[in-house]
Amino acid sequence: MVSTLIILFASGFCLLLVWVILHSGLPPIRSLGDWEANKHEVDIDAFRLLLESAEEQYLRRSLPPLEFRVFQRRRLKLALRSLDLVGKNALMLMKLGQLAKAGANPKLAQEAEELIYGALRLRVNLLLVQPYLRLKWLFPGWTVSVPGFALPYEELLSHLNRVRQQRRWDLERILMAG
Amino acid sequence: MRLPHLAPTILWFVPLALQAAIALVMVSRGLARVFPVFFAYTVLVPSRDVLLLLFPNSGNRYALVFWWGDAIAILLSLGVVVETLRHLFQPYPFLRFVFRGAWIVAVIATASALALFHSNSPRGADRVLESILLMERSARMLQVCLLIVLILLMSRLGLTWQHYALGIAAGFGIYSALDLALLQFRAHLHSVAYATFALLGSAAYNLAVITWAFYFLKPRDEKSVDSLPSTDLANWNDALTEQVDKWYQR
Repeated sequence: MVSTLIILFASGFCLLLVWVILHSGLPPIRSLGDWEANKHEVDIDAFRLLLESAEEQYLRRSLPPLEFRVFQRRRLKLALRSLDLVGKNALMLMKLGQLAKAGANPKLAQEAEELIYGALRLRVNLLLVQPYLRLKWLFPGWTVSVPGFALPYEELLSHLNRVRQQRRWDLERILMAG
Repeated sequence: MRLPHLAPTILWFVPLALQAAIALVMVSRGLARVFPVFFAYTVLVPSRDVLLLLFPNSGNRYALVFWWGDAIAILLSLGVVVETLRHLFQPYPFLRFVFRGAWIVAVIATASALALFHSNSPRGADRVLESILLMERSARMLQVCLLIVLILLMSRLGLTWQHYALGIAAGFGIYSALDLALLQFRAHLHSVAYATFALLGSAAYNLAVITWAFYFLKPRDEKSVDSLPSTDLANWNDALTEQVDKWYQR
């Protein structure tokens, strides 16, 4: 019976994921105009303020614990909403970058490569930041750091920079050659 | 032709025709070199179905071609998942940790699949058939786990703009999930008659082939973009890196 439940859960979850990737809810991006029409404006300073440690400490000192938790959850919800919109922007930019890469202009292809790397790096950052914010939403008073992510993240960023540099040199060589 | 005969004929013919067309399009667009395992799978399955027409239904040769073909198709379908993972992440060496994660999942899924196989030793009248169904179910379980990892990564990292890879993953996701559930109902719960099992399995495969056909046969009408916008991605990456530095111990 347990094996049946595991198998049916795995099957159902797989089908759900297929549904999710086929219905991303993103508008189709076929041109620069589509991006301009569909991009989300998100204020980065407001986002920084929402997650400011000094601000959090001030609220913790000034408000009764229950009120602090309610207020902190509202701030975290807003921060998560901002990240959701920024993530959607990154997806649209990746699509736009891919369309630009498909063209015949090598200089534009170089810019598109940069754009895709920037968007992909943002998506990787979101993978780390969003779960932490959701945990903090559940436990608003939580201030503990999460261990164990240091190596893969630093390794990932250094790889990212090396590959980006290598790609830039390759494209520059192609441009200079003709 | 009456409906009970018409349905299996349609379910047999549609994937045969569509997969032949997909194979031709793959060759003409140079995709056979990009996805060689998927191409082999696309050629093998319809070829086996055509070959089976040459043998009588109850003969040994028929059984030999059917079951060996099935075994090779399952191995190839596992290979397609690995091939798609490689195709998606090879251009980004900094995502090498993805492969490590996928291998860990594969090892855990293989262990679970083997445990499932051992804990459900065949007891029915037809032990050979039940053993084959159990092995097929274990392989499908492995495939479903790998596909869950693949689709989850595609979705979270936003790699869904990789048109053909998305189609392959979605098609296999639909077929493997439905086939695994059917195999479980048939082999363990004995709640599905063989004729219904065969018909539903075939319908699930048709869904997968229609998904692949949608992605591979659709004409590519994407226009290229001639300029790119200025973005604040770098600022956002800095802001998020600050948070990661603050929260995750180094």
